[in-house]
Amino acid sequence: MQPADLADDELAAECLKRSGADRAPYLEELFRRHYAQVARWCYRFTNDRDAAADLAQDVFLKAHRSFDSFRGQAKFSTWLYSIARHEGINRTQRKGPAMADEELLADVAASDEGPDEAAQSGQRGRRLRELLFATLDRTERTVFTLHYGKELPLETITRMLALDNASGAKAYIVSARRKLARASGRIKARGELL
Amino acid sequence: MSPQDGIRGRELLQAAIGPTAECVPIERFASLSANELAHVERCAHCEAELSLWQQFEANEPSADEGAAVQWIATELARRRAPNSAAIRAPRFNWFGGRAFAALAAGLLVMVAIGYSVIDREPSIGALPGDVSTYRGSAIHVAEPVGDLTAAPERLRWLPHSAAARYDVVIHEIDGTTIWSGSSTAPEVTLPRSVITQFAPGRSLTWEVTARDPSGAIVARSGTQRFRVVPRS
Repeated sequence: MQPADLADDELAAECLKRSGADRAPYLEELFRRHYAQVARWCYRFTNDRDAAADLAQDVFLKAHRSFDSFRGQAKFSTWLYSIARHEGINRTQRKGPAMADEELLADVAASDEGPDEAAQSGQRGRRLRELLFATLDRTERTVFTLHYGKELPLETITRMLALDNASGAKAYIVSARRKLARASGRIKARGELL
Repeated sequence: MSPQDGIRGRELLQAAIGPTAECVPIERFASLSANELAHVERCAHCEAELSLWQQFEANEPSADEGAAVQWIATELARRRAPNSAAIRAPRFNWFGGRAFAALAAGLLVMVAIGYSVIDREPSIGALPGDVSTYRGSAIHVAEPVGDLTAAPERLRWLPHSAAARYDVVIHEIDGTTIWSGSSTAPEVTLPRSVITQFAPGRSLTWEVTARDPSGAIVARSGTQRFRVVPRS
């Protein structure tokens, strides 16, 4: 059976059974099927055709070099995604931190620095996680996590999540900060820490 | 705020919404167990990672990116030519030049056909009136997505906090509806008569729409594709 006649997982299985030149046509077909998918992902990360082509090239180069680490336990597209995600986020983060929200950071940092600081930090992390789920809806939480956790720029998040409202991720981060500020105010009013 | 407070606040925030030992590996996203799904529903990190992965798997073109994606995909093929004048990075010679010209030409034709027939960009126009309130809100789909080894018996997604009911529809690739239904739970079990239509190799799409008690749309999953892989 020709490579083009095989489904993705069958192609991946053939690749795993073969090596060198014997593997090449199967791996080539498998990669080719995901060009547009990876191209789209990279374009959303970079918003620039040339930069996206360079990023996509690196993704496939890394996939080719590390194919032996693919065990066939996950879908090939998911394995490829893990490479694309890693390369994309690394490249975006290398451009510099996106986080610059002093008010939010000050709220989070505010604490009674007691003798058991690690335990307090753990408790604060738990409280913050609970606050996120109690206060924000799913899209707000996802945008918040990608912006403050992964330090992705809001424009990148807008494209990655295909948000098509007028102001994209910015609207969600503004709404999230407003909700969190209100919730934080209520917590402080009770004399508790965020 | 002192610089130290800023650094500390940043570290605490990233620790609070960063990954933990309990987080679900990306490789598991295509087939989440009940326990993993329960974790995702209360973990901001996994929830965000799942959203990114679903966007990758859905592979849906946005209105303004079709031409760029086509160019990048073509450029990827072009860069594989070991002797091409257009090559940017000689390191990208994966398999040598065997049949490159035929492959590149074939790819160009396939990409062109794919974009004109399958992957056509949606027209840019006014949004439907009933989705103007929360257009960006998404439903996160659990299964089925992508290539499957067996016909799915149910469709699952993460619950949406504002949903009173979910409308589900399954389409053929050409848009023909083969089944639609509603559920108040974030899943629906498919009738046997529908499951038998999931023939190996046949690609299908499905979408779930969350509606509030008044029937207004509060979130959509976007189009999800799946197919049962043919056995050789």
